[in-house]
Amino acid sequence: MFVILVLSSPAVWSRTGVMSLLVLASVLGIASVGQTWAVLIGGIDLSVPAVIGMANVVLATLYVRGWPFGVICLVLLGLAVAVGILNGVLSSVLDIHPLVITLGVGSVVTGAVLVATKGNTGGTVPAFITSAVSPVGETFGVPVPASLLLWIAVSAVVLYLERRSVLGRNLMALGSNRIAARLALVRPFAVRICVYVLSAGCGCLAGALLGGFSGGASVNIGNPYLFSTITAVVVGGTALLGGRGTYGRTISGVLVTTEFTTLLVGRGIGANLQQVLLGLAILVLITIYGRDRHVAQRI
Amino acid sequence: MRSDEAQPELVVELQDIQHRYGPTVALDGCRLQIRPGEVHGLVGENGSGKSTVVKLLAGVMTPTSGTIRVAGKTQRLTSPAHAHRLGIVTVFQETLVADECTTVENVFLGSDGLFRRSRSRAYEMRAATEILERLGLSAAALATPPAKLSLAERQTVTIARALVRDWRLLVLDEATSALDLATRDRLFTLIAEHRDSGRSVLFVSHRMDELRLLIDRATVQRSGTTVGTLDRRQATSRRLLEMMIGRQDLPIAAARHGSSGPHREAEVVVSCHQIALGATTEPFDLSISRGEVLGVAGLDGHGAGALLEALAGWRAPRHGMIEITRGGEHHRVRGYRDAFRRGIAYVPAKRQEEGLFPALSVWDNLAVATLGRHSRFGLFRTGPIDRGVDEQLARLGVVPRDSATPISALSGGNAQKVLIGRWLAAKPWLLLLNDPLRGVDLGTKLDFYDRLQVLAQDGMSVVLLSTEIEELLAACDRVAVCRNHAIRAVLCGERLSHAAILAEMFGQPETEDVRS
Amino acid sequence: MTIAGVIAHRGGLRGKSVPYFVPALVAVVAMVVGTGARNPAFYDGGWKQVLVYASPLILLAMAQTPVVLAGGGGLDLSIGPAAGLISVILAAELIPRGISVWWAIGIVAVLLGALSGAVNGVLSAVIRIPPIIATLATYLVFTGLASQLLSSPTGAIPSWFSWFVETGGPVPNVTYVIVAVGLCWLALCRTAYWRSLRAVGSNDRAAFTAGVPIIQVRFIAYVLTGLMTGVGGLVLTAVLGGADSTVGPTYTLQAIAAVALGGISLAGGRGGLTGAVCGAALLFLIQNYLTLLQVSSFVLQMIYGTVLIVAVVSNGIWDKRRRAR
Repeated sequence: MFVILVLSSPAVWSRTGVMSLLVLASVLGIASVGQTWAVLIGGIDLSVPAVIGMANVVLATLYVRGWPFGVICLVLLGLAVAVGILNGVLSSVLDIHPLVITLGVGSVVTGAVLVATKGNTGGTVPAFITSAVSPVGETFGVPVPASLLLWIAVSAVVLYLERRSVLGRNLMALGSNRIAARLALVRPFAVRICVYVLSAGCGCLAGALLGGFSGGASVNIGNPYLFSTITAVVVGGTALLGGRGTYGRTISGVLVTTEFTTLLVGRGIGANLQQVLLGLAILVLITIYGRDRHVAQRI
Repeated sequence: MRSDEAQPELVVELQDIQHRYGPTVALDGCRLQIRPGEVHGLVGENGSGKSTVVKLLAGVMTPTSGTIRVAGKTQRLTSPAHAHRLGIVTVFQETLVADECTTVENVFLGSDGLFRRSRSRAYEMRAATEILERLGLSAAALATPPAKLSLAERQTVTIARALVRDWRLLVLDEATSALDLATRDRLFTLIAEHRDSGRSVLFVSHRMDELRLLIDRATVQRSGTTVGTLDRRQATSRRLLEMMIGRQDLPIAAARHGSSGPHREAEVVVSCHQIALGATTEPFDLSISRGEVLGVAGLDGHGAGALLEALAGWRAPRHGMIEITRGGEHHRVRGYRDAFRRGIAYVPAKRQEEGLFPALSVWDNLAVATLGRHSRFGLFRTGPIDRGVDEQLARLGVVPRDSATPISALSGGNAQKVLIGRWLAAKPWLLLLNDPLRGVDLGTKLDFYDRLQVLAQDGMSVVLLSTEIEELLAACDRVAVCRNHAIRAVLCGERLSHAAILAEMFGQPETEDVRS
Repeated sequence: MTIAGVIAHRGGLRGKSVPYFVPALVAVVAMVVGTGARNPAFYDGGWKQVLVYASPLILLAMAQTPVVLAGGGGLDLSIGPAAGLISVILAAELIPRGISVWWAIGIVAVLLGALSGAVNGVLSAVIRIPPIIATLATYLVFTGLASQLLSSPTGAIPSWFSWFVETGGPVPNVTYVIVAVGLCWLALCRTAYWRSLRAVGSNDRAAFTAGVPIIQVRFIAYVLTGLMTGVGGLVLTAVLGGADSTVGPTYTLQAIAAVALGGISLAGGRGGLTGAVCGAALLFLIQNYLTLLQVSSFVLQMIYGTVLIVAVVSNGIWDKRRRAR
């Protein structure tokens, strides 16, 4: 389902306009990597907003205390791995739907961050991050904001992994047919952990980038990304039941979603109605592609 | 013996029933006539269509074409509730008990309206107690939650559920397999009483001794078609088995290889010492030689599949040990991954549920098990894998040859080849095939038997489970027959014939081979 | 508790096995004792306030129960947002328009709830969209609608709403509402529906072949959930003293945790309202106790998530052990 919306709104058609659109898209795109893979294996990751918020706050808080940026990155990496392992382990252990698990884990993460910072989530971010997400930012002299380049790099890696790594093919198999995957020697446990760690990692990256927008920091900064990542994945054409799709589709989904959102915001239609539309879209798609079998077929 | 009434109205009649599951034909030209006041047996091998008939009568499915008549009127059974209203009640082979309801509630399950009870609690209690006592269940068992009852007791509850209804036809689908002897005898007494008062019973079973005790007439199914109906006097075990075999006009038997198969003195590569597949089943021994094709036969649910899964390391046997011998060294198989690493490959049975990845391409389906072998740091080298994929596609003759094709575009036979190719690509020395050619066309089958022979001559050992006896005869050197989760006999050479295999599957003394 | 006795009797568990909600009940009692020890005013009337604030959660946990009992992976994620939406519709649409008589509002709330339940029921039971996905979708729709209709909280509700939160009598008035819902449920349990529900939840293949109309049973479960959600929305409005569109979603997580804590099997068939009430009370008491200990609200957030995970995981383990016969 490749829907490519042509940029039609005239106000956007300027270098700044295009760039700011792409910058927004790049953050969403990075955040959606994990969601794509989580959906591909037949689950979903509802802890993404919490992880984004966590990264945002951790970066700002530690930086304002003078920690070197490199060390902060390592800290974020460690946190991402921890969250990912938690999600992966819990959702493998007992066949519990990842939706419930990641919801709980997300809540724990947000709470933990608030506890650690005692509610004071202000801080500052390095200047280069602010310029990374600025529409007029430059990267090493190239007139393109760093976040966009970062998204391109991440996309390239993810797409490569999907196609050429054992993990990538295994996760497609797992999402397509769980039982056959186990018989085909795929390790569901390991795959899940990898997927959720990647998801948390990308969430951290997105959260760090978001710091460049507002300067301040908040745990809730990731909240809109819950439904916008799901939108991007669904609109891009990856089935919510797993096995079918690829991050490439999500890329187009991200672009469409960002353009659509900008368009609607420009006309005063808020995030709320978008959310309603997403819900309806999900229902329509699943009705066409993913209904459960009738009991009679299981006798 | 009853006297024949002049044209009694049939209780239930199935006429020219055809039923398909997608492209698979389960029933083709099925005819069944059940008279009032008779116990009617239904027999046949695996795949003969028996369970489809049961599901149609139970109202679980509606036939693709054909007519069902109940008491003379044509009916379309839209649901189990509808079948019950027409007086047809069914007891399935699987024990269907709801654990969160009491025993009494289970007995009366489904008999109420949505909110209204159809009977008072007192009545239910009385009626349930009465019927369960007649079937041999103690009063204490009545008060026990069903989850704590034994398997036989749970099955008794489902039988009671059928009996408390207002019924004219009782369908028993292998319902006695879970019962103990005492309960079974009480059940048969009850059946006889009901029969005498004008009700009818359709008794589906593979147990010849039970059939001989009960039935007035019997219908034989073969490959989805009704072969014929025999009267009690004519329905000897031998005659029934003969009808089940029938005249096979597949050229397969003629194509049976005349090579040195069964007399090869080859080294033993796998030996099973006193393994038992279930908690209470008989232990047995089995050994497999290098380069042999061993067939495994058995009725559904009698352990043939479990044997293969045990050999694959997928499901450990309850007792006993499976040992492989390679290069003079003995190893125990420890689990599925270990077995694979040592060179044992298992091709599962139901390719849609257990084998294929429907959303992915032929390439993915073929390469998935061997990706790890050609990879470094988690990234695989496309070169060797592409070569391996193409090799399998060529050797197995898959059409179309393009590995980028989505697997959903392939025919059943070709998809099955891809699945087998996945495991062949791992170059195993022991290949376990669980009913690999079900639903595959004849040409593909003959082709495949040849390839199996080539593999065997190269030193690969093959275990082939099949529900089609002709296939085993064509492809295998020896055939092991399973019954009640244990191997009862291993047939080879002169003793290897369709009739012999069938006899062992049913637990009957061997009948003569009827084919000329 | 006679209710417990009656429900245990209905379930036929005549002393053969422990009723499912006993662990939760024990934990509730422990929490009550602990809270009282910490704060003697609790026994003196403080508990009434606690009960009032806990009542939306209790009602929403009760609402979650029928869908979970019906099995088939049933879980209603949209309960919180639905209650929130109902609250918003009442406060932002009807009351400003002058419809403020208590019985009219009450009927509208319950009907809206039933409507949301019916929608979920059609999607999950009839069309057979996996319930988690279907209710996730309605979660999104309801949350969006609620935020759209009411961007910031309002407090203009008729005075009769305060009846709910009055603590003058022996028990807070809202207790009567909870008991009333419980009594309606008990009445339902006397019908054949209760046994059909448990059968469908524990083994839908057995129920189907026995002739139970599975689709209708499950659909009705969703409608029942919706009805109770309507009541929950009403009480939520009273407790909040208004309407707030952001409050709804948080109840979703809590309702699931409450149900899991109450001993109700997430796989279906086993459980009842008593467990839901116990679980909700337990969850709320834990929060209350931690507040008494002056634990920050941030830790509470963590606790909620952890409790959910622990409850769901142990629920699953318990189930697995019971099924491994």
